[in-house]
Amino acid sequence: MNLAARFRSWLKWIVKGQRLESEMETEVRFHIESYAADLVRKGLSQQEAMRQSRIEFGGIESYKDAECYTTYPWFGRIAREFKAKCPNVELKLITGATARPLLELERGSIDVAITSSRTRNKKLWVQDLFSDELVAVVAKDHPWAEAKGIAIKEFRHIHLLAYSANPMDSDFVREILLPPGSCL
Amino acid sequence: VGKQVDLLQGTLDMLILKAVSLGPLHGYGVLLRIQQISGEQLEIQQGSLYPALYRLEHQGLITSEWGESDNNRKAKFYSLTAAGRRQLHAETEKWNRMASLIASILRTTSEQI
Repeated sequence: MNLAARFRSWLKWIVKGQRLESEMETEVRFHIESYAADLVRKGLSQQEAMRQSRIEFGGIESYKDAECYTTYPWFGRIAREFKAKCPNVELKLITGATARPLLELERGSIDVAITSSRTRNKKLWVQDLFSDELVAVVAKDHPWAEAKGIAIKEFRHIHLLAYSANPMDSDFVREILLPPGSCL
Repeated sequence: VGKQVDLLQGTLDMLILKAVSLGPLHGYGVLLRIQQISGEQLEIQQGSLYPALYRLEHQGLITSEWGESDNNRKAKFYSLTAAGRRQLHAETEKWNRMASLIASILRTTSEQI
């Protein structure tokens, strides 16, 4: 298989995978919302029904990989400290729960979201946890190696390979790279 | 309604085939139908339903089609294929034979040996 054919095959596989994932999400969301509607008919509030439905289902999530691998280094410690302070609160880590945590907060399907960006949504309450520093790692002979700092606009001349299937799912791409003029 | 019982391992696929043999159903409908037929006595882990549906579809025993639910929502409906019908027939015979055999073993008294 030549390079072009391999690329087409890869692209087809990616597109097919994304379509299947999207269909799967639609299907499971329908299930969760239908069950929640039944629970509402039995007397639960919409918010509690959605929460219970998600818990009983086990999450859309079990079919997807974790989206935020950067969580792993710090989440365990935070979870242990939280559990020690609030032993009666059940803390459940669900991989890939959603790429749209603020929307899920508004829907009432989750109680707390830890995000990398602030929101202006007045319906939500925000508490800063910590600020993070972005670090670029380059080869020793790269022009950036001697620089004391790198302006985001300098990324305009760099090819970046991101792990997200959809680059717009990445906060780094959406909120840091695109505003000063980088292209997808 | 009696106490709910967990599904026996390996029986979910057969129950899904039976449920969709009675008419096309979406995933949530499959769950409701199995629970309804069992008199609300079988407890099915909701998260295990979809892997089973995808497995059965992959095996060609059921087929799916997007449609509209009763409340006009987009939903995926599953129905039995001809291969699925044959499989359900074979599984039903096997299950009945096995259940009858186990029941006869459990009824055995010392005088009968």
